Amino acid sequence: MSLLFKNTKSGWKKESSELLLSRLVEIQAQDGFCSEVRLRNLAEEMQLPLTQVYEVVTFYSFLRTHPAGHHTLMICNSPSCFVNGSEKLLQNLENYLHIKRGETSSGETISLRCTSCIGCCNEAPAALLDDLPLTKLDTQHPDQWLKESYANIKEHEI
Amino acid sequence: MQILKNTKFKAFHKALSLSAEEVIEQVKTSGLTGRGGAHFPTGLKWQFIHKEKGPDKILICNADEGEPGTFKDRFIIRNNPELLIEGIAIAAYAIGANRGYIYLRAEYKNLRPHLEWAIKNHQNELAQIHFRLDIFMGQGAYICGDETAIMNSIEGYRGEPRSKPPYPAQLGLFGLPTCINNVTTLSNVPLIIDGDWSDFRLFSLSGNVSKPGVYELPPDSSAGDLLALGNPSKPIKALFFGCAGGCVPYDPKLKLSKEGVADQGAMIGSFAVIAVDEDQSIPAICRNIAEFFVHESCGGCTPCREGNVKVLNILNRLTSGDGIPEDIDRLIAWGNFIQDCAFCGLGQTSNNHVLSALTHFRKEFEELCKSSSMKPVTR
Repeated sequence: MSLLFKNTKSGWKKESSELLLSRLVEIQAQDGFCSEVRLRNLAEEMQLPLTQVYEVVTFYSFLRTHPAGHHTLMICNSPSCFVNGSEKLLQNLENYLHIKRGETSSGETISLRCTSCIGCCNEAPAALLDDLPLTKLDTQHPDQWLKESYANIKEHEI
Repeated sequence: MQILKNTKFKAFHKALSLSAEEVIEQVKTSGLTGRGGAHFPTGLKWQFIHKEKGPDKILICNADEGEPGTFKDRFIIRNNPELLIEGIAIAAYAIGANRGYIYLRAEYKNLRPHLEWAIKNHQNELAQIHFRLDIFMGQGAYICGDETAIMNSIEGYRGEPRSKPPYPAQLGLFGLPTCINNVTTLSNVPLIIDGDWSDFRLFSLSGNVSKPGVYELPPDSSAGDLLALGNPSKPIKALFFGCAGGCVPYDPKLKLSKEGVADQGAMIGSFAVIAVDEDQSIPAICRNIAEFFVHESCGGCTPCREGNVKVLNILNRLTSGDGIPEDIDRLIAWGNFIQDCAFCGLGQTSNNHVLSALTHFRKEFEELCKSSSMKPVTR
């Protein structure tokens, strides 16, 4: 194995692919998803095989190659939340938003997804609305806390 | 709580007055083991990397806390990030690292400012040992908690585990000697150097309890001690040790140590305890865990990628009431096969839940088979 990373006199020389993941995150932050055109351009710019770029983007569950809603609501579906009613919560949310898990609401406001543990097991059931953890959720009336958290997010954005 | 103590970099300066060998010796004699789940002696790991020659060595702090039911790292980063940074600085000094990463999982993005604040606060101390520390964000993959997968992830490849040997201590990140330690392990280091340290375990208790949370208990504590703190409102039936650890029937006398839990056919792992009360169905929880492993398998080796789908199919059938008696034997056969043949720790532990549940709660699975209409299986 060759050394890809060297401490030169001018400081740390970064092996180019080290930046790949953070570049993909940047693209997703700008466009909302990683489109084929952007991936092709990135591969060319970083002088990496397109296969490597595509491999990485499809490996991680936070990166996507297709557009999603303006917000993403990820419901934790791991055992701690499961025994505290996350399945009921998902069903009620599906009914309220009129979409199934994995889908995006009409008007592209919100995408509903399941996620593995988000580390909020002590405040189950929990969810992530974009990066914001929502905890101790009411499984019966998801409409109430969803409206409140929307308001919170809008305040942050302004 | 011991872990909330802020030593204010006193331990770091004390470590600088000692030689690197002396620091490693002190950690070795303390008996500190890895808190990420593998329980490898920390001092020994440091010694391996310290022995390696070369000007460049890397330290990675593993903050990719993916094991369901574990939230001790989140607790430390949120409440005492300075202790973690101090631990990283001492470890870097001991092994001679000049470059470090904190691999933070995407789900904990909201904790990033806590770490940035602590790093900025102690930039001088880090510069003193010529150590550069960066935060690297994961993007949601349970497998990246594996020490070799983490290196692939940072290098810009799929986060698939590498084969060992070569071990990270010899050929790690970018081909350099690399040390990978868990957040909780590193946070214990300043307390050891400071002198006033007891070998407490950080338990993450969740599930059907009214007071879930992080609890610090001595190593010989029993399940009864922990559950007394959690105060469950209904009688507890089983304890799950995360997803990978398997389950045991609740017994207040059960010692929550590596050996005590192993006697019952489960693994204590990262000290995650999910308490499950008598209203819950064990096969339904196993189905949920199987779903988790199907999603999180990296797809690198066939036994884990395909086998876990088979296990999920059988559990789906059982829990929807279409199970047949042969399903139980099939689950055991698949479970043992995946355990024996999978490439990495994820695959090898991915069926602990179903195997231990079939040892302790076989009746619940058998009842599901009885109620079915005994249709022949076409798949």
